[in-house]
Parts: sequence; C-alpha cells; structure tokens
Amino acid sequence: MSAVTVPARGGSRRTRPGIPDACRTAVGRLLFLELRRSTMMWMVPLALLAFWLDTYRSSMALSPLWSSRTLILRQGAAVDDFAPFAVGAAAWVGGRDHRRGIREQVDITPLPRWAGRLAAWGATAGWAMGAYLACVGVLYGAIAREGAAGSPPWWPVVVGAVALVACSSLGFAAGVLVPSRFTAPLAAIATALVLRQTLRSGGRYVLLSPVTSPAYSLAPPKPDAGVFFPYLPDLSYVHLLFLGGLAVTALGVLGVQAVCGRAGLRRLAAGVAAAGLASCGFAVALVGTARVEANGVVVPALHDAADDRPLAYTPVCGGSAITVCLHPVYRAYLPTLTAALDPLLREVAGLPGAPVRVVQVALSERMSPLADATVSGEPPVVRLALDIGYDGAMWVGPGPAGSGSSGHCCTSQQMWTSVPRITAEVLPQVAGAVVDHLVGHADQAQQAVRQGLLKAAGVPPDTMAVFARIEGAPDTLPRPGTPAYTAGERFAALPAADRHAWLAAHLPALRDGRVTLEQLP
Amino acid sequence: MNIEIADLTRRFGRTRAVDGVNLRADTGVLGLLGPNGAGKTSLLRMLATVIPPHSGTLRLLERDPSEHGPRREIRRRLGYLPQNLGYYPGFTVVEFVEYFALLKEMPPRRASAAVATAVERVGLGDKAKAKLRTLSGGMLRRAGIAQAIVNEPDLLLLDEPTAGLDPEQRVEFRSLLRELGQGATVVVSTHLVEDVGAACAEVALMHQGRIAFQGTPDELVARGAGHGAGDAPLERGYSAVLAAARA
Repeated sequence: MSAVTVPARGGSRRTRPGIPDACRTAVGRLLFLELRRSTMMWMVPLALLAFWLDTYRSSMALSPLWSSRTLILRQGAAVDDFAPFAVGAAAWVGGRDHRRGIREQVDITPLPRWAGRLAAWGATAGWAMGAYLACVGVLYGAIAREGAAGSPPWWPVVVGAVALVACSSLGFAAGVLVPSRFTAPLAAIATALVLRQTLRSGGRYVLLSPVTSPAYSLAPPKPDAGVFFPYLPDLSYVHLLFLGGLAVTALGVLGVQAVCGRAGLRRLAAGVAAAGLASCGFAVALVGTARVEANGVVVPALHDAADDRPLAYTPVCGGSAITVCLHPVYRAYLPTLTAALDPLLREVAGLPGAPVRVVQVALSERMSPLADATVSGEPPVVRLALDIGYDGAMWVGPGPAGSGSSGHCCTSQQMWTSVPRITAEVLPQVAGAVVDHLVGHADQAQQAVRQGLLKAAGVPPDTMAVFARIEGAPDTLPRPGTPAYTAGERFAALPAADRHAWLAAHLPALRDGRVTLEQLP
Repeated sequence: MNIEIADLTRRFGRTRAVDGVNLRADTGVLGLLGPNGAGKTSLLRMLATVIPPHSGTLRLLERDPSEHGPRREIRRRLGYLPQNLGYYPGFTVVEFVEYFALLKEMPPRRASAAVATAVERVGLGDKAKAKLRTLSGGMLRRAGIAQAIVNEPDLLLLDEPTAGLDPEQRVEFRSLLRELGQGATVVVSTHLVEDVGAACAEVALMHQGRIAFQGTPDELVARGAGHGAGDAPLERGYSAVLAAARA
C-alpha cells in the first residue's frame, strides 16, 4: 500500500482503445466483465462436442437437401445438446453471490440488483447463444457449401435460440432462489431428463417442447417440409410465445426481491413476470386448439391460409419408356431413380391402362414409409411419395438385394444414390402398385402374370412377401410349387418382346378374369 | 455530520446486538473497539445499510437510509469492507474492483482510472492482473479495501481491515487510513488497539451492544492510568474501560 501515489479525485479520463462504445455504459461494461469470466465459457467446448457428435454428424449423414439436412435440427437436437449445459452454468452463476459470501457487498450497491443479475445472466445466455448460433452457422455453412437443394429454414434456428434463452434464464433464477452448490448439477440433470421425457412422449401439450421425436410426437418434423408446401410456422409461433414467456417470467422473478431496487422497479419486475406467465398461458391455450395436418401443425388462431397453398415448381423429368418426374429439389436423385425403375417401366410402357408418367408427390403421412406409390387418374399416373429426408439407417427393411442384410439399410445418402438399393427398397413398392393396377390379383392367372411381371422387372421374388408382412397386407403372390407359381416363372422366362406382345393383346381380358392359367403362354 | 445515531437498537432473536447506541461522527477516522460479541459488526452493518435498525434514529451523510431514494444516494457514496470478504475467484484484482465500481454507479469512463488508483493505493499494482484465487489472505484483504475505496467514498466502513496483513502492510495501511480520513468519515472496527492509536482521531469502545467509551485515543490512554492489565498504554485504557463497564 502506498499513500504517495494518490491521484487527483475523480482520476483522469483515460479511454481504452478497442473497447466498443456499448461497453462504455455501466451495464455494457458489466456485461463485458461477466462475459470474460462466465462459467458458461468453460461449458462451451462440452456443448460443441455434444453438438458435433449428435446434431452435426447425424445431419451431415442425410441427403444434401436443406429439408433433410435440417431435419435433426428441427427435431430440437441442438437444444438437447446445449440446454443442460446452459441451465447448469446459469444456475451456477445465479447462486455464486451466496456461495462466495459476497451477497452483503453487492446487495448494498446503488445499482439495482436486478440490473447486476441481468448482466450476469446475459453473459451466460450470451455464451450459450453465441456457441449455438456458431454451431448452427457451421452446420448451415457446410450444407450450403455442398450446394444443397432447397432453401434453409430459419424458424427452427430462432426457436432453438429462444429455447436456450429460456433454459438459461430458468437455470439462473433457480440458482438465485436456491443458491446451493447442488442446484446447478441438479438443474442440468433435471433439464436433460425433462427433454428426454418430452422426446418420448406424444401428448398434445408435449408439442410445447422444442425437442420432439419422429417416433412419438404427434407432429414430427416432416422430411419434405418447405418443398411442396410452405414450412408451417404455426408451432414455431407457439414455441416462441411459450419459451419466450418462460424466459421473461424467470427474468422478472429475479427483480422482485426486496434487494432488487425501489418499489416501482420491483413492481415493474412483477409486471414483467406476470406478462411472461400470460404469454405461457396463451401458448398453452393455443396448443390446445392445434390440429395435426399433412403439412404440419395448424394453430387456427395463428394460421395463415396462404401457407396451405402448394408451392409452384417446375418438375424435372427423365426416363425413356415412361417419364419420371421429381421436384427440382430432388433433381440429383432423378438419374438413380429412373435407372432403378427403368426395367419395370419398359415392361409396362405402351400396355393398355399402363401409367403414362411417374410423378413425385408430397408425403401424406406423419410416419411415412420410404416410398409409397399409388396409380390413379385417366390416363393413369403413378404418384410416388419418397421419404428422401429420413436417415435410412433408422429404417428397417429387407436390405438391398445381395447385401445379405435384412436389418438396418444404410445412410440416406447411400440409399438415394445407389441404384441397387433403390431397386431393393423402392422398386418393389412402385412395381407392386403398377402391376396390381394393370393386372389385378383376384384369380390364379392374374397372380401368375403378376409374379412373372415383377420378376421380369427385377423385383426379387421374396421381397414382395417381406413388404406385405411389414405392411400387414395379404400376400397375393403364388407360393412355390403351385401351378400359378410355375406359370408365373414360365411367363417371366419369355423374351421381353413376346411377353409385351402377349400382354398388349390379352391384358383387358386378363384384367376382366377371362383368361385361365392354362391359357397363359 | 456524516453519522448521526440516536438510541439505535438491533436484535437478533432475544439478543440485543446493538442496544441504544448514540454516536456522532464527521470527517476523520473513528476506531471502533470492543471484545468479541460487543456489537461492532452489527453496528457497522447497520451503518452500511445491510440491515435496518429495529429502533432508534440513524442518519448517514445527512440522509435517512430507511427511504429508498436517500439510501441509494448513501450507497453511492459509501465504501464497505465486511468482516468476511466475499469475492469471485475467477476475476482478476482489476476486474473485481471495476465490478464494484460499476455496481456503485461510477461512470465507466471514470471507473477505469479510479480502479487503477484504488489498486495502487492498496499496493496491489503488481498483482493487478492476478486472479483472486491466486492471492494470499492479506492480498485478498487489500483487494477488498480497494473495492471499498474505489468510489472515493464519503463514508468508509472497514470491519477488521488489517486482519491477515503483515506488520509492514499494516503500517502502510494506517498511513492510507489517515489520508482517507482527511476527506471522509472512516469507521474502522478492529481488535488491534495499536491501529487505533496510530490512525484514529477518535475512538469508541463497545461493550454488550453499548458504547462504553467515546473520545480521543489520548483520553482512552488516560483512563488506563494506574490500571495493570495490558502491555501498552492504549491496552491499559481499553482494559480499564471494559472493567468499569463490567462492574
């Protein structure tokens, strides 16, 4: 200590170069100090690791389409990665004044305690938010660099950011109100468990959680959202109301205590908390009116009818015998798909009642199969819904021919860029619908021709039975050793031109049930 | 008068920690002496507006701290070092002192210079960038003093400020106290009578929540004349006053 180095009262007006103007206000400078020493800063590497292992790697294994690559993010995986760390760090910072025995010193300072607390919380939330946005930025950058088709969805990013703000403010409030050293780990564990529980629940009010599961949620994120129809933001609005309300409530509660400032300020804090609660209540009421539709969750009070109109697009088409058309977003998969479907389409092209075109349509079910084909219209058109978005590794199917695998198939990218895999997984679905439409399966002659056509088109003989079992449908193919089976094998062995000529001549009669098994070539 | 106390009382349960204290103090250093449990820390905490009194009147810096507006103004001009200093171990000395400067609503442009000054005044200039967790107990105490004086307070309350300081640091601290006392009211609660003798213009001795003596150190020394207990004149005065109070 020295008594000889005392400068004049008030000191010199030194300025530090490089410090932004925002930091020159008291709260801005407090925030700057808190940011430099925030506990969340030490949690960021762990959160980054969780994001990389979970969200990033899973997302990048999907097809290079914006709608697919962001599917994991839209399920709230990033929130799941960051939230426990954000909550734990915020609770730790919230309880530090008590733990460090500094409450007496800070409570008697003239700056309203609310402002001091908000600065400490802001630093924690800022680190969490910054790390989250950086991670999402890297993910989006990587997707964009690969030239992904479609457009990036922004609503899930905003919802994730607000979810982290809510988590950090709830954690901070918990730390302030229950300033034990156990509060932070318990809050982090509780958050992870709650999110895990909402991931495994399917109730209506679970839709309020930013973390959903395709297996349990009433409205799992659609893999083709924003492709055929606009991305429905209704549920995102509700999320913002609910999560924002939670954040505002927690931050308001921080300013209600007697040490937080004058009565007027505390009344304001109470008002803020009440407004947050009202927002949460409003969100709960809104989600109570929500209904799940093909394109997502519709909340009538928030819904814009313009979002129900399909997006205009010009399909990209290819194929030789029959034209195959896809949404331009899926342009990259057209050659593979046409190559896989070509044997079938060559078999049926030009036959009476044969489809004239294969067109891709939007997925209609919330848990869609990998491919779903129907034939309708006059002239007939094959309407093909493809679940290009989901990770094929999650899909349990018979596996590609010759792979020897009957369980997990492959990643989405491997799936949709491989002719053998599409032949194994998609062709049977399309062939089943097309051949059934052409031939029918009521009598033995129809069943035999159906079997012969499928075999000639390259559908493995046991695959249809496997698909039928998976879908719970009756197996309409003749069993080996039966006369129909023998006739079907014989029909498949015919030269393609002979088979086509016979079908062109006899198909109407066959369809009407006027051809017997013995009359088959 | 910067401190005006009349009949001030504070209870904790059935214990009267401060029991009808009357005290007036203006610019200068006031030493607060007394045995453990005499009520020094409770009185200091009321002066620091940490806890309110249960009865009596308290005016600080010519304001009533029971009302929010005046209390805030008092706090803006107050420096307080509690008996048990709390700190954030991850902060550096400068960050810790600046943190309190900002909480005391110092304009950020002024704060950085004031922080540097306060840190120099307590002799921690060479440790300015050191994290608090790396400092010794004495250095932490000095960092606590720096946060108390960073706003150049008109009322400075120091509870056992020399605890943990080595003799050389205590000598320097007394010098600092004398200097601070030239422009502000400084109340120092301590067990070390030599600190009082060296730095305080006035001394108050508390016993069982009451002021048993208030006067100059010389007057306290005079009370000890002919009293046997104690090695130094001030200690003998201290013992004599306490003995009289107990009697």
